[in-house]
Amino acid sequence: MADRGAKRASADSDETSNKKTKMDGKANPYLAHMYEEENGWGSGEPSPNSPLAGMKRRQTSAQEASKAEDSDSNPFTGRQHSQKYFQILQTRRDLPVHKQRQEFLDKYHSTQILVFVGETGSGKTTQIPQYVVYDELPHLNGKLIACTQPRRVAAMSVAQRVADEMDVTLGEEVGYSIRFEDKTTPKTMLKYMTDGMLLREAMHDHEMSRYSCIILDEAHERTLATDILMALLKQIAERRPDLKIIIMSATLDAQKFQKYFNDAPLLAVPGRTHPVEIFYTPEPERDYVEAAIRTVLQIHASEPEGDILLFLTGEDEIEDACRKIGLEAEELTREMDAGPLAIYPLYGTLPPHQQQRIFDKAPGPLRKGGQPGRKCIVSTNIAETSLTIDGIVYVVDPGFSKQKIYNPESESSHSWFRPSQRPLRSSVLAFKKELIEQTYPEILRSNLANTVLELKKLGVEDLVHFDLMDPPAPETMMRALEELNYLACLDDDGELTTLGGLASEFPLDPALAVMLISSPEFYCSNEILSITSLLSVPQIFVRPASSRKRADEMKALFAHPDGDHLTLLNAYHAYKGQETSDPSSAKQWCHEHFLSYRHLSSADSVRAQLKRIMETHGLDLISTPFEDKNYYTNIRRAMLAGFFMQVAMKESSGKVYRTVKDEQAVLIHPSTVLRTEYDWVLYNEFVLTSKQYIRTCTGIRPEWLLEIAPVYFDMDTLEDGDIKRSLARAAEKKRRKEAMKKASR
Amino acid sequence: MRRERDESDDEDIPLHHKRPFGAGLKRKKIEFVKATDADASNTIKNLGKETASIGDVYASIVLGSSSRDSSSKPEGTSDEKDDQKEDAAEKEPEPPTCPVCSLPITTTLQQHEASLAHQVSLEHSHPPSALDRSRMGLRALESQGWDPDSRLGLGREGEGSRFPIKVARKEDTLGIGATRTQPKQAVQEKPRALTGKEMRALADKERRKGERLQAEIYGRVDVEKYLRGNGGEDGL
Repeated sequence: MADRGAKRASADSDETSNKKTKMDGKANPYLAHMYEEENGWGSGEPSPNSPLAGMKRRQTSAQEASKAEDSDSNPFTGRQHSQKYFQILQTRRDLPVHKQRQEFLDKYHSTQILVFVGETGSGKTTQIPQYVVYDELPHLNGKLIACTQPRRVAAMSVAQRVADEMDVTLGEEVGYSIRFEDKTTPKTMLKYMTDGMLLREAMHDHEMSRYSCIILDEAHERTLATDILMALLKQIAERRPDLKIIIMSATLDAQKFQKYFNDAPLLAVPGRTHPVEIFYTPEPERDYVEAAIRTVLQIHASEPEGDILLFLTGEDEIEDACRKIGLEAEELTREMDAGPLAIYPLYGTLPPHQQQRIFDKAPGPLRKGGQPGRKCIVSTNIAETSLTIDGIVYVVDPGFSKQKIYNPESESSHSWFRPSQRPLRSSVLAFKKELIEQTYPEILRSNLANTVLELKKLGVEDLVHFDLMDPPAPETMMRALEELNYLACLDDDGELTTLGGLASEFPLDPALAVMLISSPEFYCSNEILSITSLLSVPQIFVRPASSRKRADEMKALFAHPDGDHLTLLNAYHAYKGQETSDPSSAKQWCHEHFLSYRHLSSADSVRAQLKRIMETHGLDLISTPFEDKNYYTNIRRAMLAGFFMQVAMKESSGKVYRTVKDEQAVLIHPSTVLRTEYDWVLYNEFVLTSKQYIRTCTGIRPEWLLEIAPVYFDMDTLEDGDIKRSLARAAEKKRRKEAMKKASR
Repeated sequence: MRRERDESDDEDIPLHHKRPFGAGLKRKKIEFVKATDADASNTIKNLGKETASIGDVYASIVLGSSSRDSSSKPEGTSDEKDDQKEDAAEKEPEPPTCPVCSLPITTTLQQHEASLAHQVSLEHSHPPSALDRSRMGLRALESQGWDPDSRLGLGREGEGSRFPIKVARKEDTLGIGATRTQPKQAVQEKPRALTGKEMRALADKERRKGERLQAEIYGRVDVEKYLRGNGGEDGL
């Protein structure tokens, strides 16, 4: 596919020489196969028989496009349109955005960069890219149209929907590309993709020359990748006047985008096909959870038919609220003859089959003629934009959500923040008129090590004056540079090293990438590859609230006394063993052992992809024989090569550990299997809940630190203290041991 | 005339050495003040009073209020004396305004410059950034043109935020806009429990405790005397 892309790029690299090349190419019978597409179409114009006849690229009108859409045969595949196509076409034309198709095209023709504002429900994500397809006629010049999405799920599901709307097979004319899956073919002309994916493509194609139009959807979410893409596209737009860019946003702070893109024109489309009423509580509420529960019950008792969506912040809060609502609703049914109320929780860590239940129909009335039943979904903000649940009429929103915020002084932490006003799908009962926009763009609340590495690879030399919409704080940037410097991905002058270049090829955090790249030196690259994959997916151990004890017993089966990483590896090996011996029962086996089949199989596909990258770059895949007593030791040492900055030392007082990087007092997370008393541990993440925890820990020896990361643990520059003393002791012990060895020889 | 004076300054070594404001810094300051119109009348006023004796003028240069005098020279030429007298008479009711703090200068320039209002409106020179200059990250950013002392962030025009986001954890379930009421009540109750008498007793106890501690720590007589003396004054 890449091959084909390159061919296209070379054939179309220059607009003016394009025709000439084509003519030459066609004259040459040996190159005829390269021009299959064009051969039917003459010189870049639709053939007279095509429904697109007479349409000129970037000069079309809405009327022409509608006519082409109405024709019997599909202009892009040549096949007859199906019955279903015309049904969908009808509903498409009812969307708010359709009324402004001509206006959109006029604006699109007049400018290089367009800011498009449409609320949720306006149909912008599905329709605008199609409008662009009918205007760009991408099958004629071989350039693609890209539409980015912040979420993988959205990219996949929207691509499917648009393929249906255009009456084509998903993966052919309309495809998608996400981190571990590329569903496109050389035929693809409209590509939905995650913003991160487009960024990765840009690393190897700084001009984004495969695309004639790039649409950044959901730009208001301000994901890290979208922010960087905006800055890049702003630069590229100056070099490539033929490239069109559309920034799509759902909120009305579009002026900020306009201003950023040098006063680009704006087109706004009203959203919501249904009117929305918003209510606030007149007074602040003392307890938002309790108030939310009361509101749900009030709606249930006294409002007309319609389902309820309640936003809360986290798993515990949601489960607790579900229980309370359930109890109260029963009483309402008994005492006030209210209808039955079905309650479903929804949060990220919920198993998928339980997540699916939110789409169940609301229960019917208890008896004939009784009050109709309804369902109530209690969800974190994952239901905010990425899901459409039919039947929701009431939304209750206390205005809080959890956010992950990186603080360069004390690592990352979970935190609570006031969210922006949510794109509201239906009528709302929110609590106070004080909902202030207080979410920060991701770039201001993330560790930027990965981003800096990406930027370097993208050819951005000047990090200081890189024109981001919200440049990060200098301290955050400095931390990222230093982290990469310690990992030897950047040299002392901040230039990309060979290792850094290699690390950026992996879609991983730099520490994980460096760990993976250096693992062959420790004779365990196979195992480190597995661990890396397992750390890249959500937690594979399932621990449902109803059967915690049983789940812990099952986890203990895989436990390795030296740490959680090794336990993950054991579980993965056991799963692979089961899968190869009896693939049909793997799912059942996972269920019995409280392992997530979904996450294990996605870890498997992550592993396959990482393995391909390793092979392309000539990294050996080797293992220490399992019988060797150094099997696990090698793995633990190899992990240090990437994670030497994430280690903690036990305080002399006992349970408490102190991290080396930031000197935070931490506890080992209760989920650990670490049994041996280690003075030093390596950890995967730092979590802040009610206490400060380090999660996924493995025991290490201090002398390894001096061996593997001598620059970071430099005895000459380390500050005096417990850490230095412990390391000095370890070094001394080692020296003596070696001396004795020598003496005995 | 000014030139003559300067030359004589340079040549007349003993006198020159006696000048209390001989430092280069102070001399520069004088010139700066002179460049503005504001102090013209001020100096003229002085000159008007002092014309009686050239000796007085000379003495004033030697003895102190120096800065203005040397600056006054170019305007205060003897040819214009009469005009200036008139000018001074006109300007006296309306004192000149200071270009820095835009307040009228009613006192002498030195006093004015020392006044709080003037000091506050002086352009503030910020202390250098506290960042560790040896950090690799800082060096990399500096090499790309970021100045840690510029008080600017990153970005095309340095518009980025200068500090990372401050994180505030929410550990209660108070709704938006709600404030906790219970702790307030607790705070109110406590002061009620103490009567004036108790307060005094408490303060007395604290004081005695402090004295005892001091006596223990600073056993030396002279120190104790010194400390108690201070304390007595404070008390009064």
